[in-house]
Amino acid sequence: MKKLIFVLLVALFSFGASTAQDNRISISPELNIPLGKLAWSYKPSMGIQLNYARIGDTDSKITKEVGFSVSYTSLAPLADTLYFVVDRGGVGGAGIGTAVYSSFKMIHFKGNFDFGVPIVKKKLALNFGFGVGYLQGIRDILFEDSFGSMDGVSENVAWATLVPKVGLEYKMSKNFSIATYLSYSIMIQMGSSDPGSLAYNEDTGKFYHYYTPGISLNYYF
Amino acid sequence: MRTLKLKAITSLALIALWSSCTESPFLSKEEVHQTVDSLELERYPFHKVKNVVAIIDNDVYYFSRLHSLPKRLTQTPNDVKTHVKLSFDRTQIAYQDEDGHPVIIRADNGEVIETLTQFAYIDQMDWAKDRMTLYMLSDREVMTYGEPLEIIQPNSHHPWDEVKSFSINSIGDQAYFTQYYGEYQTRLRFYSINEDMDDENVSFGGDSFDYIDFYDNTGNFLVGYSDPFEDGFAKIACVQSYGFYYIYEWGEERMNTPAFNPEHEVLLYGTLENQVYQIKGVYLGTEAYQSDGYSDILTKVLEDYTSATPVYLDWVQ
Repeated sequence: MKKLIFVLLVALFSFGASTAQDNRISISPELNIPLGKLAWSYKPSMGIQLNYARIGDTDSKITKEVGFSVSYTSLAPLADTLYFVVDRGGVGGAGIGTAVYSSFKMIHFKGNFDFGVPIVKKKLALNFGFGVGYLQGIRDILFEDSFGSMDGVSENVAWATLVPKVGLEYKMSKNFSIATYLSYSIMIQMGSSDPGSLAYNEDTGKFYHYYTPGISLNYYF
Repeated sequence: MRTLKLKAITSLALIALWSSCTESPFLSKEEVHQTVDSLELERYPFHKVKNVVAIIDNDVYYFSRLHSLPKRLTQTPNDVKTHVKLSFDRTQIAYQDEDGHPVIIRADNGEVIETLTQFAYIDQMDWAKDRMTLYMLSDREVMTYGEPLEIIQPNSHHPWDEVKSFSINSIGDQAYFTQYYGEYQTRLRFYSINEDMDDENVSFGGDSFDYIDFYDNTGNFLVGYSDPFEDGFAKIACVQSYGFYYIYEWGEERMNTPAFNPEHEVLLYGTLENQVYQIKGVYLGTEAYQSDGYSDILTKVLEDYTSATPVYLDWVQ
Protein backbone atom coordinates (compact mmCIF):
# COMPACT_ATOMS: atom_id res chain seq x y z
CA MET A 1 0.00 0.00 0.00
CA LYS A 2 2.80 2.45 0.91
CA LYS A 3 4.51 1.68 -2.40
CA LEU A 4 1.28 2.37 -4.26
CA ILE A 5 0.89 5.78 -2.59
CA PHE A 6 4.52 6.63 -3.27
CA VAL A 7 4.23 5.75 -6.96
CA LEU A 8 1.03 7.74 -7.20
CA LEU A 9 2.54 10.82 -5.60
CA VAL A 10 5.66 10.67 -7.77
CA ALA A 11 3.48 10.35 -10.86
CA LEU A 12 1.23 13.15 -9.72
CA PHE A 13 3.94 15.70 -9.10
CA SER A 14 6.22 14.83 -12.00
CA PHE A 15 3.36 14.64 -14.46
CA GLY A 16 3.58 17.17 -17.34
CA ALA A 17 5.75 19.53 -15.32
CA SER A 18 6.44 22.06 -18.07
CA THR A 19 3.23 22.12 -20.12
CA ALA A 20 -0.33 23.57 -19.86
CA GLN A 21 -2.15 21.71 -17.12
CA ASP A 22 -5.51 21.45 -15.39
CA ASN A 23 -6.70 20.02 -12.16
CA ARG A 24 -10.08 18.41 -11.83
CA ILE A 25 -12.28 17.41 -8.98
CA SER A 26 -15.33 15.25 -9.47
CA ILE A 27 -18.26 13.92 -7.62
CA SER A 28 -19.87 10.77 -8.98
CA PRO A 29 -23.03 9.01 -7.94
CA GLU A 30 -22.69 5.46 -9.19
CA LEU A 31 -24.43 2.14 -9.19
CA ASN A 32 -22.43 -0.89 -8.08
CA ILE A 33 -23.70 -4.07 -9.70
CA PRO A 34 -22.35 -7.27 -8.11
CA LEU A 35 -21.26 -10.13 -10.34
CA GLY A 36 -20.50 -13.79 -9.66
CA LYS A 37 -20.54 -14.94 -6.04
CA LEU A 38 -21.01 -11.40 -4.80
CA ALA A 39 -24.32 -11.35 -6.68
CA TRP A 40 -25.49 -14.48 -4.81
CA SER A 41 -25.98 -12.37 -1.71
CA TYR A 42 -26.09 -8.69 -2.69
CA LYS A 43 -28.15 -6.61 -5.02
CA PRO A 44 -27.08 -3.55 -7.05
CA SER A 45 -26.66 -0.59 -4.73
CA MET A 46 -25.85 3.10 -5.04
CA GLY A 47 -22.52 4.55 -3.99
CA ILE A 48 -20.65 7.82 -4.24
CA GLN A 49 -17.15 8.61 -5.44
CA LEU A 50 -14.96 11.66 -4.99
CA ASN A 51 -12.09 12.10 -7.37
CA TYR A 52 -9.12 14.34 -7.89
CA ALA A 53 -7.06 14.26 -11.10
CA ARG A 54 -4.12 16.22 -12.38
CA ILE A 55 -4.31 16.49 -16.14
CA GLY A 56 -1.19 16.58 -18.26
CA ASP A 57 -0.62 18.61 -21.43
CA THR A 58 -4.12 19.71 -22.37
CA ASP A 59 -2.94 20.71 -25.83
CA SER A 60 -1.71 17.27 -26.82
CA LYS A 61 -3.85 14.89 -28.86
CA ILE A 62 -4.20 12.46 -26.03
CA THR A 63 -4.41 13.85 -22.54
CA LYS A 64 -2.95 11.94 -19.66
CA GLU A 65 -4.37 12.07 -16.16
CA VAL A 66 -3.17 10.89 -12.79
CA GLY A 67 -5.29 11.14 -9.67
CA PHE A 68 -6.83 9.47 -6.74
CA SER A 69 -10.34 8.76 -5.57
CA VAL A 70 -12.27 7.62 -2.59
CA SER A 71 -15.63 5.96 -2.83
CA TYR A 72 -18.16 4.50 -0.50
CA THR A 73 -20.91 2.05 -1.12
CA SER A 74 -23.09 -0.18 0.99
CA LEU A 75 -24.23 -3.23 -0.94
CA ALA A 76 -27.64 -4.25 0.32
CA PRO A 77 -28.38 -7.96 0.79
CA LEU A 78 -30.71 -9.61 -1.70
CA ALA A 79 -33.20 -10.34 1.08
CA ASP A 80 -33.44 -10.19 4.84
CA THR A 81 -33.02 -13.98 4.90
CA LEU A 82 -31.62 -16.18 2.18
CA TYR A 83 -32.55 -19.86 2.05
CA PHE A 84 -30.55 -22.87 0.97
CA VAL A 85 -30.74 -26.66 1.15
CA VAL A 86 -28.63 -28.50 3.72
CA ASP A 87 -28.04 -32.09 2.72
CA ARG A 88 -26.29 -34.40 5.15
CA GLY A 89 -27.30 -37.44 3.14
CA GLY A 90 -29.41 -40.38 4.21
CA VAL A 91 -32.93 -40.61 5.51
CA GLY A 92 -33.90 -37.41 7.29
CA GLY A 93 -30.64 -35.76 6.20
CA ALA A 94 -32.13 -32.94 4.14
CA GLY A 95 -32.91 -29.70 5.89
CA ILE A 96 -33.35 -25.98 5.43
CA GLY A 97 -30.55 -23.50 5.94
CA THR A 98 -30.81 -19.76 6.31
CA ALA A 99 -28.22 -17.06 5.79
CA VAL A 100 -28.59 -13.51 7.04
CA TYR A 101 -26.22 -11.00 5.47
CA SER A 102 -25.71 -7.49 6.71
CA SER A 103 -25.00 -4.73 4.21
CA PHE A 104 -21.51 -5.01 2.73
CA LYS A 105 -19.92 -1.62 3.49
CA MET A 106 -17.01 -0.87 1.20
CA ILE A 107 -14.63 2.10 1.46
CA HIS A 108 -12.45 2.18 -1.58
CA PHE A 109 -9.25 4.21 -2.08
CA LYS A 110 -7.50 4.05 -5.40
CA GLY A 111 -4.97 5.69 -7.63
CA ASN A 112 -6.14 6.37 -11.16
CA PHE A 113 -4.27 6.50 -14.47
CA ASP A 114 -6.42 7.71 -17.33
CA PHE A 115 -6.23 8.91 -20.92
CA GLY A 116 -8.53 11.22 -22.84
CA VAL A 117 -9.02 11.12 -26.61
CA PRO A 118 -10.92 14.12 -28.03
CA ILE A 119 -13.79 13.20 -30.33
CA VAL A 120 -15.09 16.73 -30.82
CA LYS A 121 -12.36 19.19 -29.91
CA LYS A 122 -12.91 20.90 -26.54
CA LYS A 123 -16.38 19.34 -26.29
CA LEU A 124 -16.46 15.56 -26.30
CA ALA A 125 -13.77 13.11 -25.30
CA LEU A 126 -13.41 9.37 -24.86
CA ASN A 127 -11.76 8.51 -21.56
CA PHE A 128 -10.19 5.20 -20.60
CA GLY A 129 -7.78 4.03 -17.97
CA PHE A 130 -7.51 2.03 -14.80
CA GLY A 131 -7.25 2.36 -11.07
CA VAL A 132 -5.28 0.39 -8.52
CA GLY A 133 -6.52 0.48 -4.99
CA TYR A 134 -7.31 -0.68 -1.54
CA LEU A 135 -10.78 -1.51 -0.32
CA GLN A 136 -11.89 -2.08 3.24
CA GLY A 137 -14.95 -4.31 3.39
CA ILE A 138 -17.10 -4.74 6.48
CA ARG A 139 -20.02 -7.14 6.88
CA ASP A 140 -21.61 -9.77 9.13
CA ILE A 141 -23.01 -13.13 8.05
CA LEU A 142 -25.07 -15.57 10.12
CA PHE A 143 -25.76 -19.14 8.99
CA GLU A 144 -28.31 -21.38 10.67
CA ASP A 145 -29.92 -24.66 9.71
CA SER A 146 -32.87 -26.77 10.71
CA PHE A 147 -30.57 -29.24 12.49
CA GLY A 148 -29.69 -26.57 15.03
CA SER A 149 -26.27 -25.64 13.68
CA MET A 150 -25.35 -21.99 13.78
CA ASP A 151 -22.29 -20.09 12.64
CA GLY A 152 -21.52 -16.40 12.50
CA VAL A 153 -18.84 -14.57 10.60
CA SER A 154 -17.90 -10.94 11.24
CA GLU A 155 -15.62 -9.62 8.52
CA ASN A 156 -13.52 -6.47 8.46
CA VAL A 157 -11.19 -7.31 5.65
CA ALA A 158 -8.74 -5.58 3.29
CA TRP A 159 -9.01 -6.17 -0.42
CA ALA A 160 -6.68 -5.15 -3.25
CA THR A 161 -8.47 -3.84 -6.28
CA LEU A 162 -7.87 -3.32 -9.97
CA VAL A 163 -10.40 -1.16 -11.80
CA PRO A 164 -10.33 -0.69 -15.58
CA LYS A 165 -12.65 2.02 -16.78
CA VAL A 166 -14.03 3.61 -19.94
CA GLY A 167 -16.21 6.73 -20.31
CA LEU A 168 -17.41 9.70 -22.33
CA GLU A 169 -16.96 13.29 -21.17
CA TYR A 170 -18.89 16.28 -22.40
CA LYS A 171 -17.48 19.69 -21.64
CA MET A 172 -20.20 22.16 -20.83
CA SER A 173 -17.89 25.13 -20.21
CA LYS A 174 -14.27 25.91 -19.52
CA ASN A 175 -14.67 24.77 -15.93
CA PHE A 176 -17.47 22.24 -15.94
CA SER A 177 -18.06 18.95 -17.63
CA ILE A 178 -20.24 15.91 -17.21
CA ALA A 179 -19.12 12.38 -17.90
CA THR A 180 -20.56 8.92 -17.94
CA TYR A 181 -18.41 5.92 -17.29
CA LEU A 182 -18.42 2.20 -16.78
CA SER A 183 -15.82 0.59 -14.58
CA TYR A 184 -15.15 -3.04 -13.71
CA SER A 185 -13.74 -3.74 -10.25
CA ILE A 186 -11.82 -6.85 -9.30
CA MET A 187 -11.40 -7.37 -5.53
CA ILE A 188 -8.84 -9.82 -4.17
CA GLN A 189 -8.79 -10.43 -0.44
CA MET A 190 -5.46 -9.57 1.16
CA GLY A 191 -3.58 -11.34 3.90
CA SER A 192 -1.17 -14.16 4.43
CA SER A 193 -1.87 -17.79 3.77
CA ASP A 194 0.72 -18.71 6.43
CA PRO A 195 -1.18 -19.84 9.55
CA GLY A 196 1.74 -18.63 11.68
CA SER A 197 1.55 -15.09 10.36
CA LEU A 198 -0.20 -12.23 12.15
CA ALA A 199 -1.78 -11.35 8.83
CA TYR A 200 -3.10 -14.88 8.37
CA ASN A 201 -6.39 -14.95 6.55
CA GLU A 202 -7.89 -18.25 5.46
CA ASP A 203 -9.67 -16.48 2.63
CA THR A 204 -6.57 -14.82 1.19
CA GLY A 205 -6.95 -14.61 -2.55
CA LYS A 206 -10.74 -14.77 -2.47
CA PHE A 207 -12.05 -13.01 -5.52
CA TYR A 208 -15.11 -10.84 -6.05
CA HIS A 209 -16.03 -8.57 -8.90
CA TYR A 210 -18.64 -6.04 -9.83
CA TYR A 211 -19.16 -3.34 -12.39
CA THR A 212 -20.14 0.23 -11.91
CA PRO A 213 -21.89 2.60 -14.26
CA GLY A 214 -21.74 6.18 -13.05
CA ILE A 215 -22.11 9.83 -13.87
CA SER A 216 -19.52 12.33 -12.75
CA LEU A 217 -19.83 16.07 -12.43
CA ASN A 218 -16.41 17.63 -12.98
CA TYR A 219 -14.91 20.97 -12.10
CA TYR A 220 -11.66 22.10 -13.73
CA PHE A 221 -9.38 24.66 -12.17
CA MET B 1 -8.71 -8.43 10.55
CA ARG B 2 -11.10 -11.27 10.36
CA THR B 3 -12.92 -12.72 13.28
CA LEU B 4 -14.80 -15.97 13.22
CA LYS B 5 -17.30 -16.80 15.94
CA LEU B 6 -17.52 -20.54 15.84
CA LYS B 7 -20.75 -21.90 17.25
CA ALA B 8 -21.02 -25.24 15.57
CA ILE B 9 -18.35 -27.20 13.77
CA THR B 10 -20.85 -28.68 11.37
CA SER B 11 -21.63 -25.31 9.88
CA LEU B 12 -18.02 -24.81 8.87
CA ALA B 13 -18.33 -27.75 6.54
CA LEU B 14 -21.49 -26.15 5.26
CA ILE B 15 -19.74 -22.85 4.57
CA ALA B 16 -16.86 -24.66 2.89
CA LEU B 17 -19.37 -26.44 0.70
CA TRP B 18 -21.03 -23.14 -0.10
CA SER B 19 -17.68 -21.59 -1.01
CA SER B 20 -17.01 -24.33 -3.53
CA CYS B 21 -20.33 -23.86 -5.32
CA THR B 22 -20.29 -22.69 -8.90
CA GLU B 23 -23.91 -21.62 -8.80
CA SER B 24 -25.71 -19.76 -6.10
CA PRO B 25 -26.91 -22.11 -3.34
CA PHE B 26 -29.66 -19.68 -2.45
CA LEU B 27 -33.20 -20.41 -3.53
CA SER B 28 -36.56 -19.02 -2.67
CA LYS B 29 -38.09 -20.32 0.55
CA GLU B 30 -40.65 -22.28 -1.48
CA GLU B 31 -37.96 -23.82 -3.70
CA VAL B 32 -35.95 -24.88 -0.66
CA HIS B 33 -38.99 -26.52 0.90
CA GLN B 34 -39.79 -28.27 -2.38
CA THR B 35 -36.22 -29.52 -2.77
CA VAL B 36 -36.06 -30.79 0.80
CA ASP B 37 -39.43 -32.52 0.42
CA SER B 38 -38.30 -34.06 -2.85
CA LEU B 39 -35.03 -35.32 -1.32
CA GLU B 40 -36.87 -36.77 1.65
CA LEU B 41 -39.42 -38.45 -0.57
CA GLU B 42 -36.67 -39.87 -2.78
CA ARG B 43 -34.93 -41.29 0.26
CA TYR B 44 -38.08 -42.26 2.11
CA PRO B 45 -37.41 -45.97 2.48
CA PHE B 46 -41.01 -47.12 2.09
CA HIS B 47 -41.30 -45.22 -1.17
CA LYS B 48 -38.90 -47.73 -2.75
CA VAL B 49 -40.71 -50.87 -1.68
CA LYS B 50 -42.06 -52.78 -4.68
CA ASN B 51 -43.82 -56.10 -5.31
CA VAL B 52 -45.57 -56.87 -2.07
CA VAL B 53 -48.40 -59.40 -1.92
CA ALA B 54 -50.75 -59.52 1.02
CA ILE B 55 -53.86 -61.30 2.19
CA ILE B 56 -56.33 -58.68 3.39
CA ASP B 57 -59.81 -59.75 4.44
CA ASN B 58 -59.15 -63.15 2.91
CA ASP B 59 -58.32 -61.80 -0.53
CA VAL B 60 -54.94 -61.56 -2.23
CA TYR B 61 -53.69 -58.12 -3.18
CA TYR B 62 -50.61 -57.18 -5.19
CA PHE B 63 -48.90 -53.88 -4.40
CA SER B 64 -46.63 -53.05 -7.33
CA ARG B 65 -45.42 -50.27 -5.02
CA LEU B 66 -46.22 -50.02 -1.38
CA HIS B 67 -47.57 -46.50 -1.78
CA SER B 68 -49.64 -47.29 -4.87
CA LEU B 69 -53.12 -48.74 -5.19
CA PRO B 70 -52.91 -52.54 -4.96
CA LYS B 71 -54.45 -54.90 -7.46
CA ARG B 72 -57.02 -57.24 -5.97
CA LEU B 73 -56.31 -60.68 -7.40
CA THR B 74 -59.02 -62.76 -5.77
CA GLN B 75 -62.68 -62.02 -5.10
CA THR B 76 -63.46 -64.72 -2.55
CA PRO B 77 -63.48 -63.06 0.86
CA ASN B 78 -65.45 -65.91 2.38
CA ASP B 79 -62.68 -68.42 1.65
CA VAL B 80 -59.99 -68.34 4.33
CA LYS B 81 -56.51 -67.78 2.94
CA THR B 82 -53.18 -67.75 4.77
CA HIS B 83 -49.41 -67.79 4.18
CA VAL B 84 -49.10 -65.96 0.88
CA LYS B 85 -45.83 -66.26 -1.07
CA LEU B 86 -44.67 -64.56 -4.29
CA SER B 87 -42.38 -66.47 -6.66
CA PHE B 88 -38.87 -65.16 -7.29
CA ASP B 89 -39.84 -64.03 -10.82
CA ARG B 90 -43.04 -62.44 -9.47
CA THR B 91 -45.29 -64.35 -11.88
CA GLN B 92 -46.99 -66.75 -9.46
CA ILE B 93 -48.40 -66.52 -5.98
CA ALA B 94 -49.03 -69.38 -3.58
CA TYR B 95 -51.27 -69.27 -0.54
CA GLN B 96 -52.93 -71.85 1.65
CA ASP B 97 -56.65 -72.36 1.50
CA GLU B 98 -58.83 -73.10 4.49
CA ASP B 99 -58.05 -76.80 4.22
CA GLY B 100 -54.33 -76.06 4.31
CA HIS B 101 -53.74 -76.91 0.65
CA PRO B 102 -51.42 -74.64 -1.33
CA VAL B 103 -53.16 -72.78 -4.14
CA ILE B 104 -51.08 -71.32 -6.95
CA ILE B 105 -52.46 -68.34 -8.83
CA ARG B 106 -51.14 -66.01 -11.50
CA ALA B 107 -49.68 -62.84 -10.09
CA ASP B 108 -51.05 -60.64 -12.87
CA ASN B 109 -54.73 -61.58 -12.80
CA GLY B 110 -55.28 -64.01 -9.93
CA GLU B 111 -56.33 -66.90 -12.15
CA VAL B 112 -55.95 -70.19 -10.29
CA ILE B 113 -53.22 -72.31 -11.87
CA GLU B 114 -53.44 -75.27 -9.53
CA THR B 115 -54.57 -76.32 -6.11
CA LEU B 116 -52.08 -78.73 -4.57
CA THR B 117 -54.48 -81.00 -2.73
CA GLN B 118 -51.74 -83.58 -2.30
CA PHE B 119 -50.12 -81.31 0.30
CA ALA B 120 -51.65 -80.32 3.64
CA TYR B 121 -50.68 -79.60 7.25
CA ILE B 122 -47.96 -77.25 6.09
CA ASP B 123 -45.98 -75.46 8.79
CA GLN B 124 -44.02 -73.22 6.45
CA MET B 125 -43.79 -72.79 2.71
CA ASP B 126 -41.97 -70.55 0.26
CA TRP B 127 -40.83 -70.38 -3.29
CA ALA B 128 -37.22 -71.23 -4.02
CA LYS B 129 -35.33 -68.04 -4.70
CA ASP B 130 -34.01 -69.04 -8.12
CA ARG B 131 -36.51 -71.44 -9.69
CA MET B 132 -40.21 -72.24 -9.91
CA THR B 133 -40.25 -74.61 -6.98
CA LEU B 134 -42.53 -74.40 -4.01
CA TYR B 135 -41.06 -76.03 -0.93
CA MET B 136 -43.17 -76.93 2.06
CA LEU B 137 -42.22 -77.95 5.56
CA SER B 138 -44.74 -80.40 6.94
CA ASP B 139 -44.09 -82.12 10.23
CA ARG B 140 -40.39 -83.03 9.97
CA GLU B 141 -40.15 -83.26 6.22
CA VAL B 142 -39.52 -80.74 3.44
CA MET B 143 -41.49 -81.46 0.28
CA THR B 144 -41.24 -79.70 -3.04
CA TYR B 145 -43.48 -78.99 -5.98
CA GLY B 146 -42.20 -77.81 -9.36
CA GLU B 147 -38.66 -77.84 -10.69
CA PRO B 148 -36.25 -80.21 -8.92
CA LEU B 149 -34.68 -78.81 -5.76
CA GLU B 150 -32.10 -80.74 -3.78
CA ILE B 151 -33.00 -80.80 -0.09
CA ILE B 152 -31.09 -82.27 2.83
CA GLN B 153 -33.79 -83.42 5.18
CA PRO B 154 -33.56 -82.40 8.84
CA ASN B 155 -31.96 -84.58 11.44
CA SER B 156 -34.42 -86.10 13.85
CA HIS B 157 -33.71 -88.38 16.78
CA HIS B 158 -37.04 -88.77 18.48
CA PRO B 159 -40.61 -88.96 17.24
CA TRP B 160 -41.43 -85.93 19.33
CA ASP B 161 -38.67 -83.78 17.88
CA GLU B 162 -40.29 -80.79 16.23
CA VAL B 163 -38.90 -79.05 13.13
CA LYS B 164 -40.06 -75.49 13.54
CA SER B 165 -38.75 -73.77 10.45
CA PHE B 166 -36.82 -74.31 7.24
CA SER B 167 -35.28 -72.00 4.65
CA ILE B 168 -33.01 -72.35 1.63
CA ASN B 169 -31.18 -69.72 -0.40
CA SER B 170 -30.32 -69.93 -4.08
CA ILE B 171 -26.79 -71.28 -3.53
CA GLY B 172 -28.02 -74.33 -1.71
CA ASP B 173 -27.46 -73.26 1.88
CA GLN B 174 -30.32 -74.41 4.02
CA ALA B 175 -31.20 -74.26 7.66
CA TYR B 176 -33.65 -75.79 10.15
CA PHE B 177 -34.83 -74.71 13.53
CA THR B 178 -35.51 -77.85 15.53
CA GLN B 179 -36.95 -78.30 18.98
CA TYR B 180 -35.48 -81.57 20.12
CA TYR B 181 -37.46 -83.61 22.55
CA GLY B 182 -36.39 -82.92 26.09
CA GLU B 183 -34.57 -79.67 25.27
CA TYR B 184 -35.79 -76.22 26.18
CA GLN B 185 -34.03 -74.24 23.46
CA THR B 186 -34.38 -74.64 19.73
CA ARG B 187 -31.33 -75.45 17.66
CA LEU B 188 -30.50 -73.93 14.29
CA ARG B 189 -28.72 -76.33 11.99
CA PHE B 190 -27.12 -75.29 8.70
CA TYR B 191 -26.46 -77.55 5.74
CA SER B 192 -25.15 -76.90 2.28
CA ILE B 193 -25.73 -78.99 -0.81
CA ASN B 194 -22.57 -77.54 -2.37
CA GLU B 195 -20.16 -77.28 0.53
CA ASP B 196 -19.27 -79.45 3.46
CA MET B 197 -21.30 -77.44 5.93
CA ASP B 198 -23.08 -78.98 8.86
CA ASP B 199 -23.05 -76.41 11.63
CA GLU B 200 -25.27 -75.91 14.57
CA ASN B 201 -26.03 -72.68 16.32
CA VAL B 202 -27.74 -72.99 19.64
CA SER B 203 -27.88 -69.54 21.06
CA PHE B 204 -28.10 -65.99 19.75
CA GLY B 205 -26.86 -64.01 22.70
CA GLY B 206 -29.35 -65.73 24.97
CA ASP B 207 -32.33 -65.13 22.68
CA SER B 208 -34.34 -68.05 21.49
CA PHE B 209 -35.71 -68.14 17.95
CA ASP B 210 -37.75 -70.63 16.00
CA TYR B 211 -38.13 -69.15 12.52
CA ILE B 212 -35.54 -68.60 9.77
CA ASP B 213 -35.62 -66.99 6.35
CA PHE B 214 -32.52 -66.51 4.19
CA TYR B 215 -32.82 -63.14 2.52
CA ASP B 216 -29.64 -63.27 0.45
CA ASN B 217 -26.83 -65.61 -0.60
CA THR B 218 -24.11 -64.42 1.75
CA GLY B 219 -25.11 -66.19 4.92
CA ASN B 220 -27.40 -63.42 6.09
CA PHE B 221 -30.83 -64.39 7.33
CA LEU B 222 -33.76 -63.29 9.42
CA VAL B 223 -34.70 -65.18 12.55
CA GLY B 224 -37.94 -64.79 14.43
CA TYR B 225 -39.22 -65.65 17.87
CA SER B 226 -42.83 -66.86 17.97
CA ASP B 227 -44.84 -65.44 20.80
CA PRO B 228 -46.09 -68.45 22.79
CA PHE B 229 -49.14 -66.53 23.99
CA GLU B 230 -50.14 -64.65 20.83
CA ASP B 231 -50.19 -65.28 17.11
CA GLY B 232 -47.15 -64.13 15.17
CA PHE B 233 -43.66 -63.16 16.21
CA ALA B 234 -42.63 -61.05 19.15
CA LYS B 235 -39.09 -60.38 17.97
CA ILE B 236 -37.03 -60.63 14.82
CA ALA B 237 -33.32 -60.20 14.20
CA CYS B 238 -31.16 -60.16 11.12
CA VAL B 239 -27.99 -62.14 11.48
CA GLN B 240 -24.85 -61.75 9.42
CA SER B 241 -22.67 -64.42 7.82
CA TYR B 242 -24.05 -67.45 9.67
CA GLY B 243 -22.94 -65.73 12.85
CA PHE B 244 -24.39 -64.86 16.20
CA TYR B 245 -24.51 -61.10 15.87
CA TYR B 246 -27.52 -59.07 14.87
CA ILE B 247 -27.26 -56.39 12.24
CA TYR B 248 -30.82 -55.31 12.90
CA GLU B 249 -33.41 -56.27 15.43
CA TRP B 250 -37.00 -55.33 16.04
CA GLY B 251 -39.56 -56.31 18.59
CA GLU B 252 -43.31 -55.89 18.57
CA GLU B 253 -46.24 -58.07 19.50
CA ARG B 254 -48.02 -60.09 16.84
CA MET B 255 -45.72 -59.60 13.90
CA ASN B 256 -47.04 -61.82 11.15
CA THR B 257 -44.95 -63.07 8.18
CA PRO B 258 -41.98 -60.71 8.54
CA ALA B 259 -40.16 -59.96 5.26
CA PHE B 260 -36.89 -58.06 5.18
CA ASN B 261 -35.00 -56.46 2.32
CA PRO B 262 -31.33 -55.66 3.06
CA GLU B 263 -30.92 -53.21 0.19
CA HIS B 264 -33.60 -50.91 1.53
CA GLU B 265 -33.19 -52.02 5.15
CA VAL B 266 -36.95 -52.26 5.49
CA LEU B 267 -38.93 -54.87 7.38
CA LEU B 268 -42.57 -55.50 6.46
CA TYR B 269 -45.07 -57.56 8.38
CA GLY B 270 -48.71 -57.93 9.20
CA THR B 271 -49.66 -56.30 12.46
CA LEU B 272 -52.60 -55.71 14.75
CA GLU B 273 -53.10 -52.06 15.63
CA ASN B 274 -56.24 -50.47 17.04
CA GLN B 275 -58.11 -53.77 16.79
CA VAL B 276 -57.57 -54.07 13.03
CA TYR B 277 -54.99 -55.99 11.06
CA GLN B 278 -52.74 -53.91 8.84
CA ILE B 279 -49.45 -53.90 6.93
CA LYS B 280 -46.61 -52.27 8.76
CA GLY B 281 -43.16 -51.25 7.57
CA VAL B 282 -40.14 -50.47 9.72
CA TYR B 283 -37.00 -48.80 8.46
CA LEU B 284 -34.14 -50.56 10.21
CA GLY B 285 -31.27 -48.68 8.52
CA THR B 286 -28.30 -47.98 10.71
CA GLU B 287 -28.89 -44.26 10.30
CA ALA B 288 -32.21 -44.67 12.06
CA TYR B 289 -30.54 -46.27 15.07
CA GLN B 290 -27.81 -43.64 15.17
CA SER B 291 -29.93 -40.56 14.91
CA ASP B 292 -33.12 -41.31 16.76
CA GLY B 293 -32.73 -44.31 18.97
CA TYR B 294 -34.75 -47.49 18.94
CA SER B 295 -38.10 -46.02 20.00
CA ASP B 296 -38.18 -43.40 17.25
CA ILE B 297 -37.30 -45.64 14.35
CA LEU B 298 -39.24 -44.73 11.24
CA THR B 299 -42.36 -46.82 10.74
CA LYS B 300 -45.27 -46.77 8.36
CA VAL B 301 -48.68 -48.39 8.68
CA LEU B 302 -50.85 -48.77 5.59
CA GLU B 303 -53.94 -47.42 7.26
CA ASP B 304 -55.99 -47.50 4.05
CA TYR B 305 -55.85 -51.29 3.91
CA THR B 306 -57.23 -52.71 7.11
CA SER B 307 -58.34 -56.27 7.55
CA ALA B 308 -60.68 -58.08 9.90
CA THR B 309 -58.55 -61.20 9.54
CA PRO B 310 -54.79 -61.49 10.12
CA VAL B 311 -52.69 -59.99 7.35
CA TYR B 312 -50.15 -62.28 5.70
CA LEU B 313 -47.64 -60.82 3.28
CA ASP B 314 -44.57 -61.49 1.19
CA TRP B 315 -42.14 -59.19 -0.57
CA VAL B 316 -39.90 -59.91 -3.56
CA GLN B 317 -38.29 -56.63 -4.45
